[in-house]
Parts: sequence; C-alpha cells; structure tokens
Amino acid sequence: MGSCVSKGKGDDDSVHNVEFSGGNVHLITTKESWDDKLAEADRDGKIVVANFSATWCGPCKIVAPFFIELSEKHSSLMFLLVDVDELSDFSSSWDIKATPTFFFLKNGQQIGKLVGANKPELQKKVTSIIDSVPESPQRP
Amino acid sequence: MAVSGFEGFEKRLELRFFDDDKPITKNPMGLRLIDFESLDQVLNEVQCTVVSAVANRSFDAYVLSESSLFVYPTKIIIKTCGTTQLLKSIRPLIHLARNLGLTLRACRYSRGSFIFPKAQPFPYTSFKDEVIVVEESLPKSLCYRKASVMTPSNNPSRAWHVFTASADVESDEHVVVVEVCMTELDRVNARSFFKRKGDEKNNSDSAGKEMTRLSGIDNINANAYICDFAFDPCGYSMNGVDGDRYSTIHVTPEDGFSYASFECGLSLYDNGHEDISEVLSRAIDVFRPSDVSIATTYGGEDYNHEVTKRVERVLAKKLDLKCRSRLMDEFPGSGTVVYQSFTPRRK
Repeated sequence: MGSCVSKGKGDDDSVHNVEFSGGNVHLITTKESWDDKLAEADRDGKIVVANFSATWCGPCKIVAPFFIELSEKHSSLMFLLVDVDELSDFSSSWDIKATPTFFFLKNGQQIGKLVGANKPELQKKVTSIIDSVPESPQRP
Repeated sequence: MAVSGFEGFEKRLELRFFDDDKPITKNPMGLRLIDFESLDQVLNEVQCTVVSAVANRSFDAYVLSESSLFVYPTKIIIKTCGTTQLLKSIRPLIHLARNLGLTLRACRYSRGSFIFPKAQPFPYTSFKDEVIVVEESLPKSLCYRKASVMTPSNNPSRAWHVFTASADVESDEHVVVVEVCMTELDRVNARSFFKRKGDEKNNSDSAGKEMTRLSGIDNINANAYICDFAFDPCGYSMNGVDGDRYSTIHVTPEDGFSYASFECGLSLYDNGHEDISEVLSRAIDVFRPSDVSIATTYGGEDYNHEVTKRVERVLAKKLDLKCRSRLMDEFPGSGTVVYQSFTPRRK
C-alpha cells in the first residue's frame, strides 16, 4: 500500500516541530476517514493501532517517531493517528483522559489499550498482538 | 536498619515562574513548550531518564527512572531519589524558561533525612551545603530567602529540610502540597511491588498496572488517570493525572530500607474534591508503615489549623497512627510548612 505522509499543524511555531504522522501512519482528520480506515482494515484483515495525540503534548512527541518506526516495520497492522483537538467530540467518546492513548482494535472492537509514552510497553503490546494473530489468508 | 541499600528519600525541587500578562507574549502553554531533547539533557545531568509519560490539558507528567517530573505552564516540579544530583537542574531549567520569555518567581527545595546519608555525594552530605548551592544557582531577584530544618523531638533522625526563595514577600500559590514519607512498610503489603515470575507470559497487562491494582493504589483517587511503571526486579513509580492535580507514588519495597512516598497537590477550597485526610488515609493504608511523616505546604495565608487537626484525628481513628510531633514554620513568599510525625499507637 502507499505511504501517507503528513505534517503537523502548519501554524506550529515550535523550533523542534515533531512529525506525528509519517511512514505508514495515517492521519485521521474526520470521523468519516476514521470509519473508512476501519472498514479498510476489516477488509484487509488488519488490526488497527490508533494513537490519540495532541500537537501540544510533550509526552506524545517522545513516542511519535517510534510509532512511525513501528508502522514501517509492521505492515500487517494499520497505524492511525487521531488529533484529539481536531476530533475533540470523537476523542471524548473514547474517554481520553490523558495523551498519548493507544487503542488496539480488531473488527472495530477494542482488544487492548495503552496510555502513556512508554516505548518498551508499546513494543510489547504490538509484538503480543502480532504473535497472537495467525497469518490470515486473503479473501478471494 | 541496613548498612547500605537504595535511598528512597527524594529530593524535591519546585520552580515557579511569572505568568506575564502581556497579550503579545502571552503563551498559554508556557514551560510545556520546552522541547523534550532539552528536558532530557537536564535529566541526564541529574542522572535520570524518562521511562513513561502522559499529558492532559493542564500539565505534562513524566515518570523518571528516579521518581518524577511535572511540567505546568508556569511551574516545574521535579522529585528524584537515590544519589541523584537534583540541584544541577536549577540553572538549565531557568535558562530554558528564559528562552520562552518566562522569569523565575519562586523556588522551593525540600527533603527528608536520608536513610543512607553517607552514600550521598556533595553537596547532599549537608543541608547547609545544599542551601549554598541552591542560592548560588538563583538570581538575586529572589531576595526573600529562608532555610529551615524541622526536627521532631520524638525522632531527631527524621528531620524535614526546607529552603525557599521568592521574588515576592507574599505568595500567590494556592495549591497545597502534601508530601508523605513512609518507612518500615508492612512486609505483606510491600510484596505487591515485587515483579512476579511469569509476569511476562501470563499477563497482557503491564507489571505496573498489576501493581497498581494489587496494592489498591487505584482506589486512592478513582478520578485520576494513573501512569505507572514497575522496575526490575522490584520497585514502583506512578504519576496520577486528574484535571490540573498531580499525584505521585514511589516505592522501594526491600526489607531493611523499605520506603514509600505519596505526594499530591490540591486545593482546600475546591468543594468538588474530597477531604485531604481521607485521601492521605487511603494512601498510607496501602503501605501500613511503622513510621510516617507528612509535610504540608500551604501557600500564602491559606494555613488551616483545622485541616492539620483533622488529619491527625482521621489517621488515629482509621489507621491507629498517633501524632508524635507537629512542627510549623513560615517562609517569606512561600507560605507555611507543617511537619507531622506519626507512629502506630501500640508502639
């Protein structure tokens, strides 16, 4: 699949602007694109890893490059980035109390959750998911 | 007491900056805009690394390899245990803040007596030397200064050390900070903070989350989101995030030098939040320690004697802890500190 590269907010005046999406991370800016991506993941038999972040969030910046790295390494998963400010109502429905919050979704259902920028823990979650899912044959 | 071991007692530094009202330079994110690479460099000097981190609308909370860092728009709180060099962070943090147009307003440094004082490097070998180092790191504009060692008569080896400096003679801080230090933890309760064999295989949840649940820490404040971390082979840290309130717990469970701390910032006048005494009671009950000290810092004129008495009543009633000493001191521009010492009544 193609790579979707997107920068953070254009008006971010930070000298050290961290890119939150890149690699194979898809930036979600509307509820419709969220629904589309989940439908696509279902068709492709992929588990979704959704990162709820904010551009102002210092802890989110710690883990953003690692998240991108994971997305490039694990093409069997779908990596999404949700900006909690741009999609504030949507984020509220997921009860985001702190960022970053990662959700692991299979067929739209939550199978895991991780809150906090903790790279070893995120790696561990991704690895356990990959190990637990057998190779799925492509639908005809 | 063990001859040597890990030093649980933390050094704590709080730096508060002016919130300039000028519309042009008004920056609501303030210190939160300090980039992580710069923060990481400061932490490296102090001998810490970030192991986990979360943020909400109000502040950033970093769990460190040696305790915690909280970054608010105009306030930084950093707490480090072991033999860390916390005071080395003062100048770099002031510099990073200045780059964002923020000027230092007040500084507070505090710590309890170390379990292993001989293991500390200079200047932590003597509070007098620590004060000299802090003073040299601060600008002259913070001209209201005071150092105090509060020594309980029942246990002189458990003194509370405070240094404050402020640019104003009156404090504008309305957050009450409660620092609880506990030693001689109940052995059974302390067991929750040892990683169990097979954790990796049996649990999808992290070891930190399991410790939070097993110990009952998740019940101290049900509203807080807890960012926790379990160390190898034992030990635990957590930061709680609840609106603009932080809380933090750090545990050294090994017998002989077992230690736990609980700290939180709160407001006495927020009716939406429950009684400080109940929170403290639940936190202390997690560890059932044989020795508890509570340092409460009231900003400005907010000292409330009834709160002090109520804490003593609740701890006596619920945990059978008797207050053996109560000391009070006032710090210009930084408020009032009350230092209470408790031991079980049966002792």
